[in-house]
Amino acid sequence: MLLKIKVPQKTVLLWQIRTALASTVFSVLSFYLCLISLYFLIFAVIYCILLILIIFFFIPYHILSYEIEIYEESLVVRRGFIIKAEYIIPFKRFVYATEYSTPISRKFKLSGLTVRISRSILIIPEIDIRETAKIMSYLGDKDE
Amino acid sequence: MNDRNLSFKIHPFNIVFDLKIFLAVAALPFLATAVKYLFTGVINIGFTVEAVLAVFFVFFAVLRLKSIEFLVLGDIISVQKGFFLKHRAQIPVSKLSAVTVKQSFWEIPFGSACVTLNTEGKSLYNDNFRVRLYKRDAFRLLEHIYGTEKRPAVRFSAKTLLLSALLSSSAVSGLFIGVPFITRLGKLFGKAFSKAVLDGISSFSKKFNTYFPPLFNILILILLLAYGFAVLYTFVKALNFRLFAGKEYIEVRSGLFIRQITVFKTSAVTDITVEQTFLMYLVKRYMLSVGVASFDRKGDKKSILIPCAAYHRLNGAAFLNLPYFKQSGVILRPLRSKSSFLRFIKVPLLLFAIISFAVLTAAAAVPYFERFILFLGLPFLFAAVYLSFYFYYNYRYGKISISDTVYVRAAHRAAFKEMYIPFENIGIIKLSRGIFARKKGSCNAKVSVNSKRANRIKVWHINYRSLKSGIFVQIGNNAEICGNNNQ
Repeated sequence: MLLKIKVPQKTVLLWQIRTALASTVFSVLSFYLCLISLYFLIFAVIYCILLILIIFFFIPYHILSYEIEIYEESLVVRRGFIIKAEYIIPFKRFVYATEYSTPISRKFKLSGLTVRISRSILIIPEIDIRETAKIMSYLGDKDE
Repeated sequence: MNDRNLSFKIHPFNIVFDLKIFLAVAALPFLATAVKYLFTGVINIGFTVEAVLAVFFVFFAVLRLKSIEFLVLGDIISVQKGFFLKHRAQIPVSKLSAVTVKQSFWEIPFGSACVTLNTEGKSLYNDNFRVRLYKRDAFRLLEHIYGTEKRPAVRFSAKTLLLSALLSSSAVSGLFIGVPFITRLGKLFGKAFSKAVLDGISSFSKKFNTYFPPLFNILILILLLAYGFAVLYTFVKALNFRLFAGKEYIEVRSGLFIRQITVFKTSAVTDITVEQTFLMYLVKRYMLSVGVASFDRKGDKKSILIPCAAYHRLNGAAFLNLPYFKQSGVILRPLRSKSSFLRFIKVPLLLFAIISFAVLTAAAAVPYFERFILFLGLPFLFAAVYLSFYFYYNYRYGKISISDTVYVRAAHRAAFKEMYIPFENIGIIKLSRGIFARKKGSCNAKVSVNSKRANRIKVWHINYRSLKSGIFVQIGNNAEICGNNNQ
C-alpha cells in the first residue's frame, strides 16, 4: 500500500454546518407553523429529533468511516459504519478525476474528489487539500 | 490496410426521417384539408399555415439530404452532414465496434437500408453515425470493412426461435407493444368477445368465476394477450436468425419484416452472458448474448448469439472464437451450511410472513372484502415466493472466480445469469459487508463491466479475504490485505 488517507474531523464539522444551514428554512417554517397551531408541534418535535440525530450521530459516523487507500495499481475507497462498502478501482479503468470545493470548505482548507469510471462515478468527501493533490497526482501518473 | 476509395449515393428516404416530426404531427391534418379543398374549394387559415410549414420542412429536408456525404477513403470512413452548420466525422475503420444494416419491410420496394456505425474507444465523445443508403451500397460497405471471408453459418430452426420467444417474452413488454391492439380489439369485439373468453376461462376452472372478482379475470386476460403479443413480436423479430462467426468478426442476421444485419469485432465484445429466464430454468434452456462496446447515445449493444439451447451446446462454444468464454481460477462459493442458508432465506421468509399476516388479519377484520383482500395480497405473496427462489438460487448456484476472466454466476433481477468478463473490462468492484457478514468473514460482491451500459451482477456471502486477495493479485497489487478485516 502506498498511501492511506482518513477523512479529518474538520470534514465532519463542515457537513454539520452545511446540514444546519440547509435545514434553517425548514426549521424556521416549522417554528412559525407551531405559533399558528399547536398541532404542528408534534411534527416540529419529530423534525428536531431527526435533525439532531443526523447532525450529531449520522454525519460523524458516516464521514469518519471513509478511508482512501492507494495501492500500486488500484484505488480502494471504504465507507459505511453499519454496512461497510469497499470500492476497488484499478487505475487503468478510471476516465478522469475532478476536484471540487466550496467557499466554506476552502476556509477549512478541504476539497473533495469525484472519480469517473466509464458509467460509474465515485464521490470522495472533502479531505485536506494537500491529500487531494496527492491523489490527483497519483491518478494522473497512472493514467495511460 | 485497404486502399480502396468508395463513394456512396445517399438514398432519398433520408428525407422521410428528417420530416418525421412534421409527418407525425401535421401531415394527416394537412392531407385531410388538402382533400377537402380539392372537393369543396374551401380553404382556411389552418390549411395555409400547414402548407407553408410543409414547404418549409421539405425545403430544409432536401437541403439536408443534399449535404450528406458518405465516403470511404481507404481505412477511414468520412460522414458529412449539415447545410449551414457542417459536421464532418472521420472514423477509422479500426475504431468501429459494430456496423448495423437494418431494412424495414416498407423499405424493401425502394431498396433502402439504414446503416449505423458504432464506435468504440476511451474518449467521452459520442455520436450516432446513422444514414440511409441503397441496400447494395450497404452490403458493399460491409464487404469493404469486414472483407469477404466466408464464415460458417449457424442456423436455428423456427421451432427453436419460437421456444426462445415463448421462454423469454414477458407480459410487461407485451403491454407496451400490444396496448393499442388490445384496446382496439376490445372496442371492435365489445362485450361479446370478453364474455366469450371469460366464459371459456370460467368453464376451465369454475373457481375463477365464483371466487375471484371479475377484475381478476379481466387482468389475466389482458396479461395473456400482452404476453401473446410479446411472443409474436419476439418471434417475428428473430425469424431467419443466422449467426456467422469468423476469426475476427461475428455477423448476426435476423428478422423477416424488419431485416437486420449486425457485424462486430470479437475484440469489441465486453462481456459474455449466459442467461435463463424463470421459464427457461424450468425447461433447462439458456440464451447466450454478448455486450459490444459502443459509445453512441444509446449506449452499448447487446447482441444475442444463441437464442435458446441446452447448456452443453453453449459451453465453450468454440466456434465463436471468444477465448475468454471459459471458467478459470479458483471458484469461490457461499459456505454450505444451515446458518449460511438461513442468511440467504431470512429476508424473503420474513416478507412472506408479514404479507400473510397482513392479508389474514385484514380478511378477518373485514370479511365482506375477503375475496378482494385475497386478490390484492396474492401478487405480493407470489413475489415473496419468487424472491425466496431467487435467494435460494444465489445460495445454491452463486459463485465467482477472479483470474484473466472474471466468471460470476448469480440471479440478477428477473433472470439467472452467468457472466464471463475479461479482467481488463472490469470497471468497479464493490464489496459490501454488514455486521453479521463482518463476523462471518464474508461479503457481497458487485462486479460492473467497464462500458456505457455498465452491466452489473452481484454475488452474495463470499469469503472476503479470498476474494479480495484474488482481486489484488489480478490487478497487480501486493496481495496483503490492509486493515482489520473484521472492523
